[in-house]
Amino acid sequence: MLSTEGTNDKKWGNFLLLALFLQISAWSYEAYFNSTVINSVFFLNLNLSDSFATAFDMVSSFVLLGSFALFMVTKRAFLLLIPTLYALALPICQIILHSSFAYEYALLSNGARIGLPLVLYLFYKGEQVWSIEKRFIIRFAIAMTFVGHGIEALIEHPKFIDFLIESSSIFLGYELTEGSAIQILALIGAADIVFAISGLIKPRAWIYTWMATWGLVTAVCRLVYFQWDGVFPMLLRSAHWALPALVVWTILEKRKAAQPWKVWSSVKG
Amino acid sequence: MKKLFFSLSIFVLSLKVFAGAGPGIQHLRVVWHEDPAHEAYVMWTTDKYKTKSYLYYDTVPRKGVLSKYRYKNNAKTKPILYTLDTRHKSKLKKLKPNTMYYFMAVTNGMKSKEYHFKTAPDGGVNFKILFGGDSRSDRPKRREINRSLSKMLESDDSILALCHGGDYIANGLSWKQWKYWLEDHLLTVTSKGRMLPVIPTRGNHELASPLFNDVFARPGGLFKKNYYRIKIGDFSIITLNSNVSAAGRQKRWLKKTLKKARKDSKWIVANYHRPLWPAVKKPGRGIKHWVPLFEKYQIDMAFESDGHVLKRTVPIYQNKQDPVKGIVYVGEGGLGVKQRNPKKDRWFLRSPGYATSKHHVMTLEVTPSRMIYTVDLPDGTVFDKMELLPRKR
Repeated sequence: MLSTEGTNDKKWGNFLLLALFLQISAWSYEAYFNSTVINSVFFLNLNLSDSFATAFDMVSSFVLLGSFALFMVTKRAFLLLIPTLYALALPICQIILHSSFAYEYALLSNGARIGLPLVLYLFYKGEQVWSIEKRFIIRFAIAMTFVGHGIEALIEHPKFIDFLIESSSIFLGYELTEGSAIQILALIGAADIVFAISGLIKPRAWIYTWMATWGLVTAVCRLVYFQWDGVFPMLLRSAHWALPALVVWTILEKRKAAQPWKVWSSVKG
Repeated sequence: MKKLFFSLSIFVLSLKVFAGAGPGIQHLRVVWHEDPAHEAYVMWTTDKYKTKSYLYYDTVPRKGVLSKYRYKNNAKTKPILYTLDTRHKSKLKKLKPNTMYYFMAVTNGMKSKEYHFKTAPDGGVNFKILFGGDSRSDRPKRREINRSLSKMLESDDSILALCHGGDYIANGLSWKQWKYWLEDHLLTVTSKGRMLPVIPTRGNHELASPLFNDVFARPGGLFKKNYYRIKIGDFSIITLNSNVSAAGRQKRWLKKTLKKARKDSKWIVANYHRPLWPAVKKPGRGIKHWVPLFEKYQIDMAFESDGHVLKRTVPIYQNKQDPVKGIVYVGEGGLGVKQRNPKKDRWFLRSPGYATSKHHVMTLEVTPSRMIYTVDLPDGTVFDKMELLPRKR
């Protein structure tokens, strides 16, 4: 029988599995109904036929879902390497293509999405405990994503500018100017980088609580901007809030304050 | 072995012929921005900095005798970023509309051949503009299409310029790839030396590369990020930049410009890289910010690139097919890039719209009473034709 700690570890393992499922659903949707950067690299850089590239997208869509389903049944950890490799292939193809804004930072920005299946693989391969090494990988993956997005904000990602302008129009009834949006983005970008690095140096509950909240807000922002078309882009970013949430939990647990009614006092420190 | 030697000789010979405009002076080109009836940029490249560069020009051919040219213009020189090459840019102002200009570039005593181009009319004259995008990744095809453009220009005097929808090359930061593109663009020159001016658009493969501005003289000026309006008589091309914010300054500029164009232009077309009604990928952010303005100000049609297919949508108004108020979106890029299989089942591609996989160039003939849109394939066949009548705005 598992100890309370072991049960909690497993519970959080399941929580991350849910996040991974959401991420895989989004990948599968994009690969099946749209096209991916892997498709473009196959077609344009490797000179393979469009039919092959499209077939690869469709097959990969089923393979991702299938491998996850098989993992849920068999609990064979190696099956989680499939989404890990897929997560790694996407930013690499982005870098090869040179076609999207801030592609140079794609590996950084995708850190959490790569980290999520990777830590789950390590978790299920090992003794199913969130050991210090695994926690560090999680924090490192979060830091990569926040630093990557922070840089993108500082170099004025046009999509982020549009998100800010649109959000202000919807929630404040006032459309921000591009200049103001850029100034706000500079603050957001700097904050992302500072939080990422300080969280990596010394994990604090309030930092990761902020990161989980911000990760959720920026994911939901896709839904606000694109409406129904934003559902899958939102799900794709599940790792951005799920991984920081796990770190918050591990910190709180360490302080023996996992009970909900004591959470706030432990966050306050 | 003989065959190999023969092919190599042809290859080397063709490199010599098409390598540049003359020894030392390469990549000669004409670029159009806002007012092509009165202004044009003539640009070229050399491998030396700190040079004296001039453009000699006239309205009659002078066959290379410099002393006979009536006008002489200083060219600004600037080293091209991250390279050892130098860009030369001569801005010609106060040109006469609808007039052939003959010119020669001279740098440190090195002379180009004499070339010529025709300025845009100021109104009252029928003319044609070629449209197309995505000339990256498949160089042999790009060269083939450029040769076909040269033939079109040779046989049709009313063709004025090529409005390129972006994605000239695969990596906008690679000067080597730009050099190849510029060398290949010289294939559009006719046997008599007529040049096809370029109306540039920034694509996603140019991203934020400063080389785009080095090659095309910063269209849109210093403060606008490569979005601008070209006005030829009562015809306006609104070129947008889908790589920068669609909701910010660009949207405000678009609104102001469309308001103005509604009053001074009979014909308004939009041109940008990322499709808003795509046949392959997802729509760009402009669908939220630009389409309502296109519909409000009733532009005539929109040219898109990026998808690597050939498409024409049904007339679209407020997300529905509307034969009266609807706007037709065409293009998706086929000036050399490998073509994809489009997603034909999308509602806006049903008949009379279509989507197919063909290299192509589009021609828009502008007359006072109608605009005639045609799609030409590289073999010269006309694939599609459509007529547009003036709209009530």
